[in-house]
Amino acid sequence: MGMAKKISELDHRIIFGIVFVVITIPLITPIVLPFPVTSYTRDYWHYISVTIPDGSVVGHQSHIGPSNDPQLGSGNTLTIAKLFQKGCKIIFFSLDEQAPSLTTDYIAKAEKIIGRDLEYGVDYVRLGFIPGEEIGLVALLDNIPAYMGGIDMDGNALADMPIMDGIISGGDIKDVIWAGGAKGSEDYAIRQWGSQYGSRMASILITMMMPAIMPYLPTGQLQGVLSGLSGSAEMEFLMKEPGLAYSQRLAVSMGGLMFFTLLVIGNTAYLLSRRRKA
Amino acid sequence: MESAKMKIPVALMSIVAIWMILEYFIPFPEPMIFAAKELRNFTSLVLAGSMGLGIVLFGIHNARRIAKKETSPHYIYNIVFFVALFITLITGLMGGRDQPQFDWIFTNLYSPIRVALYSTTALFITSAGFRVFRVRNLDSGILLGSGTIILLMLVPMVSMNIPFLITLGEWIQNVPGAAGFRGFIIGVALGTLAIGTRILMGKNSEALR
Repeated sequence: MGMAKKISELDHRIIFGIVFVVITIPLITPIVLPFPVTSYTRDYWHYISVTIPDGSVVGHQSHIGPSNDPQLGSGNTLTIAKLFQKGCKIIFFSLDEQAPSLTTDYIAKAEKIIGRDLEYGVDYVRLGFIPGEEIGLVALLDNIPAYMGGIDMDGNALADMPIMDGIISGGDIKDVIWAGGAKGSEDYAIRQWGSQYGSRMASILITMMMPAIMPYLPTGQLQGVLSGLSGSAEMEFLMKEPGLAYSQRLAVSMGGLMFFTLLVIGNTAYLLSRRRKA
Repeated sequence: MESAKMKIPVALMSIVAIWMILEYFIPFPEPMIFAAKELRNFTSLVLAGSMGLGIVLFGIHNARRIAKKETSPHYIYNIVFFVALFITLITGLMGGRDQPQFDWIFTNLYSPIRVALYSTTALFITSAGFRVFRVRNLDSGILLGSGTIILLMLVPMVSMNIPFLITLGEWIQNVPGAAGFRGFIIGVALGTLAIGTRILMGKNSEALR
């Protein structure tokens, strides 16, 4: 077997080793890289900081589980913090059974960032896990208090909460943050909430899901999108709250460059071995 | 008998589905709207209950594997499942979701395991990408070229020094990428419609088997 062929069919264990070294070293190195803010994040930022009226009621659905929390947690927390800073009231719920536990952490961190105590039932309410994905969403949005049986996830009466005044259907919530994560649930969110009730929406998702939501951005069905670790880092930059995502940009850079190098080496070796065969 | 066993569920499914579709587009009388809402709430409840059913079935599956330990050398993992299930269940039932022990299990056991499993995809994707992204013909060359531009756009070290990559990368995502995916979405919708129609007409009875 020629050298080019050998390189072209590099053992996966060697690649695993390279990935491990290239990503781990930057993660433990305290170097912060400058980075540009993409137009997607700028649109998202404009939506949460300008378009959503101060003091309005905002819906927040999360599909963020432990697996995508490292890349999306920071962006989601800062979104919540920004909305609370604007005096918005947030109705939290989740179509994923793992997300409510993480949402507790996001609210606690957001509270620290804004530096004031949030009042449950006034600033926010938690409806918890809504089973049934699209059907569950339809049923919930039709009549929120009735679907919930008049109580929140801890059994407190919704009727006693000022935040729920005048909130009956999905149409009473004019703005929505849809943290779809890796679920790809934006399709039915737009279909059942945005289009049906005329509410504006923005999404938080992993970078891999970006192509799936691209058609909804030019049409305005999604006002903006916060994508992956890059989006979280850009949010940290815009909020002037540098955190974990900010520092992980070096690892992302190194990982991307390593993959690019592997592509170049792999293709060169492949073309050389093909030429030799011909 | 077999025919009736299939025909009745198909008929029920068709009636409910057509009812739901029409209710979305046409204003129905109030009692029918109310019934449709109740049906949706019922579906949501059934789906919530199915999680419990899933645990029971998975429990039975694991118990069977433990019982047949002589044929399965990995039965120890089935025991681990029961230990984990009972510990989590008992801590959850005793103090609820906000109990510190339950929270500790989620934060310090469940979350790191999920993160670790998810992280391994980086290794597999890199290895697979190295083997798959080859310029074998014009199509794969275009895929590799556009993929590389998007990749480099997401690498701050590169995009900070070559800002044009951001413009180009965003154009690829906004124009050809969005157009392609729009076609994909329309295709999936038409396919779903076709399959849905076949199921409603009882021609795809596999859905009920």
